[in-house]
Amino acid sequence: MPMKRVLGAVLIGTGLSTACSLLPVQVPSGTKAVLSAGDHVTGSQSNRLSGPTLRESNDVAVVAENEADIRQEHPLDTITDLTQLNQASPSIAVTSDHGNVSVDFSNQARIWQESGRDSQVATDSQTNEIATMSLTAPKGDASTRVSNQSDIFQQSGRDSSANNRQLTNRFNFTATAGATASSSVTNDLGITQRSGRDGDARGSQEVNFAPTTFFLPSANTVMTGSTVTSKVQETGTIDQKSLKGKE
Amino acid sequence: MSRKIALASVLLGTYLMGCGKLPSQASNGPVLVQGHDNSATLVQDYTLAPTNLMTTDSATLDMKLNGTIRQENGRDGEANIGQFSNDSSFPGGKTVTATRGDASAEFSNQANIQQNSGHEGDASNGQTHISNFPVTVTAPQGNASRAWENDSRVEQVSGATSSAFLSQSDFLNQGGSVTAKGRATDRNTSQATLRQTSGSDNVADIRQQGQRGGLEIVQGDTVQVDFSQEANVTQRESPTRRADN
Repeated sequence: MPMKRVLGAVLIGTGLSTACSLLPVQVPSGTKAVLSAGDHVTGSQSNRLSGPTLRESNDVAVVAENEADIRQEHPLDTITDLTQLNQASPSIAVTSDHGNVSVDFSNQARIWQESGRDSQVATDSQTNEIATMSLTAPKGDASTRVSNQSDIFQQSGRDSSANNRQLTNRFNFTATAGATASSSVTNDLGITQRSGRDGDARGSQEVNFAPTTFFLPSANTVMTGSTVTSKVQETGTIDQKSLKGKE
Repeated sequence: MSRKIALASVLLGTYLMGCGKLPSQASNGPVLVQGHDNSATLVQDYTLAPTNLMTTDSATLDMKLNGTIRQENGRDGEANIGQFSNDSSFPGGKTVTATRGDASAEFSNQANIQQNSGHEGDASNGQTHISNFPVTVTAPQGNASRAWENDSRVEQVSGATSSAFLSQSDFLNQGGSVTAKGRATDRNTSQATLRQTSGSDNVADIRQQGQRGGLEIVQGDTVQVDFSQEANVTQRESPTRRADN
């Protein structure tokens, strides 16, 4: 079956920081980054789609994804500051006259830190922002999956700090399918800390289908098909254990 | 000379044996368990726009928040979970319709905190649903269900002074309907479970609040309506667990 795959990957802005006296390691441009670094990692990944309107006869899939895998092992302090963004503005419209349509946005981050001493800091901000999305597949399935996933692991002598923020904003959404119409929005975060003392973990998850950040007159979700499913799931897990031997 | 050496050996052996007993002698006193001062905060929320799901076979609107915090410290664990669901301020309700099959709309909050601290575990769970517009679920040939659920669980084990605050609030103000050919189910339940096992000084505070308004219609061959709030608190003081750091 012919399959047209459109990879929206317009990368704008790679974060730089020289706040630390030691030169930070920069997350390279690209939708996928794998790093093995020492003490300081900072950067941003973003995909920005400016109002694409796609129409195909057969299947259409739009994928925008950011993935970062950061591993730090250092005798002193470690810092990670990561920002991930997928954005479709002002709108995205995808139609398949005879096949299926799908739009997948995802941010995925794995941060692993192990330091011998204190001041272990991980900050991870993940955002999916879609002003208006329209999916049309009169003969097939119309589906969208929007997800943020973050997994932070920290082990230090003392003072681990993790801050993860996950946000999805979507305003007007329409899915019209001959068969199945589905929408899945997922925020999933996990923070694990093993410190001698003073672990501080903060997770924030937010889904807005009527966000105030878009100044549009109305907000609606309309889905039709033989089977229709709209799901939002936010899962957060924080696991902290302070070990005497590490203090 | 040999007598002096023998005497010294006996004294040294006696001293070492005494040292060997030190841990057991100290077992009734404070015991260092692990590190201290862990703090965890988890905030989960969503806002909904006016929603219209229309289908022939089956329609599902499924909104879930699930938060878990586990802490194990020598002392001073602090854990907070806040869950908040809200339909938007834009006018318009939620309609879920399956013309031939089943239809459901479910909004659920689940929060779980487990603390094992030497002393001073401090936990709070807050769960809130707000609905300002009607939620209408219709399945003229099948089953229809609508549910708002809160489930909050806290388990604390500490040497002394466990403190827990659980709050559950539903403000469902604009009615709506559940209409089915078969089974029609409307649930609005809150369940809070708190277990504290500490040396002394446990504090438990649970507050549950439900509010419903507007015209509500539930009809079908079988109708089940469950509006309930349930709280279970178990406190047990155990003098054997005490730890300082």
